[in-house]
Amino acid sequence: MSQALSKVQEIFRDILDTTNLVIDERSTPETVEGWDSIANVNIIIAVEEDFGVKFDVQDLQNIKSVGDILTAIQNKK
Amino acid sequence: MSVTNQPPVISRARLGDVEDILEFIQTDWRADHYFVKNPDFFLYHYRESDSALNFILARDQGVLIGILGFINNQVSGENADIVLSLWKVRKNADPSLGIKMLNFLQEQLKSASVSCTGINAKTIPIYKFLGFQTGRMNTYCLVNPNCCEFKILSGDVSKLVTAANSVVAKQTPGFFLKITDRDSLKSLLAKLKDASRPAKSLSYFYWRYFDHPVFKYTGYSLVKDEKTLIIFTRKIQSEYGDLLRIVDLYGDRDLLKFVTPHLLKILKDENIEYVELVVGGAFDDAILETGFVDVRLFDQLIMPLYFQPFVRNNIDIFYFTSLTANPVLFLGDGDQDRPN
Repeated sequence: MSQALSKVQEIFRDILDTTNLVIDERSTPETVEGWDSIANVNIIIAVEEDFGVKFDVQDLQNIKSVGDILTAIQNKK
Repeated sequence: MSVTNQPPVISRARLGDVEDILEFIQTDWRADHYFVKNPDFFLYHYRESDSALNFILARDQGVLIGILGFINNQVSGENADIVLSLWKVRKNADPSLGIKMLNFLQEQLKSASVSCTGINAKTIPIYKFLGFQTGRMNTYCLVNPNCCEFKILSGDVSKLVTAANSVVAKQTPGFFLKITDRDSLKSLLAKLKDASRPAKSLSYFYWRYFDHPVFKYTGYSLVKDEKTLIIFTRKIQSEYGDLLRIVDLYGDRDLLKFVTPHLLKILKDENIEYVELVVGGAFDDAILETGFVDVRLFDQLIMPLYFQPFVRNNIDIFYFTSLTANPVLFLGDGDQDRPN
């Protein structure tokens, strides 16, 4: 697991309050319990803080998987 | 997301979608929702024309997975201030589908603004991310100082009585009149120089307060010098007594302090316990010297907001708005003041 994915996983565990949650790049809202619109924004805000990046509304709309989050982080750095 | 990986289709609702929307409300919102029990009222609320409904829909493979209801403050047409209601996306859908539906609405109606009252507190980070202003609506109360026993309010109301008594003896400059017909309202709106925001058209006021199929609203106006304030109220009869709810204040809101002596007379004449005013946004200056008190400033003072059924609790009502220039939102906006 990459360092970035590990950090994103910690964010998911914190926001979704599930300590044993395991995610990978293919994880989507359909496969991760609780990843709804509210959690999505809270995850993005936490990612912004942890990775020192800034997303806009278009970025938010493009995110459909954990892989999309990692790509978005890479593109913003 | 679709099994075929096709994105959901977002569209404006047509009259033929009513059945699907009501079924969605029933299964994904609340089975006994008032709209479900009263489709005619649903149509009154959301029918825009002979063909269009004020809803944005998202469908996946033809199946409804998201709804976004709205009220056009001009009743129809573009460049209106829009107030949202009934915004729901099915579980496991694209988590940004709701935002995409909002974008669709804003683009299709070329809306001047979007606002919403009664949002879930948990969703506030979403609206902040979108750059909208959010907040909790203030709950103001003007009590009837002649009331012998407060049965709806609970807690120590002495501060409220003191505040009300401070305006009882005041003079009442200006002309305070009941709005008895549509032409009177039309004349009053024509006098307004600066539109309140969210802006509301004459057609909106007719639809909202004259043509309501269930509630009876009473309008008043106060005209002083070159200023005009329009007030719409609804008398709520609860099992514990009556109150007067102000659902809308439109125009020169700084005239409210000249209105309250008249309101106190109505309270006395009709044996009403208090006037309720729930408002969010830039209203702090208008409330000064009016005798209204924010009940949340006092511990253990309770002013119920729900009466069908009666709930003896203070209720937090949150709002968001994309407006930035002194917006003021009332309980009558959106669908916070409707039968339950």
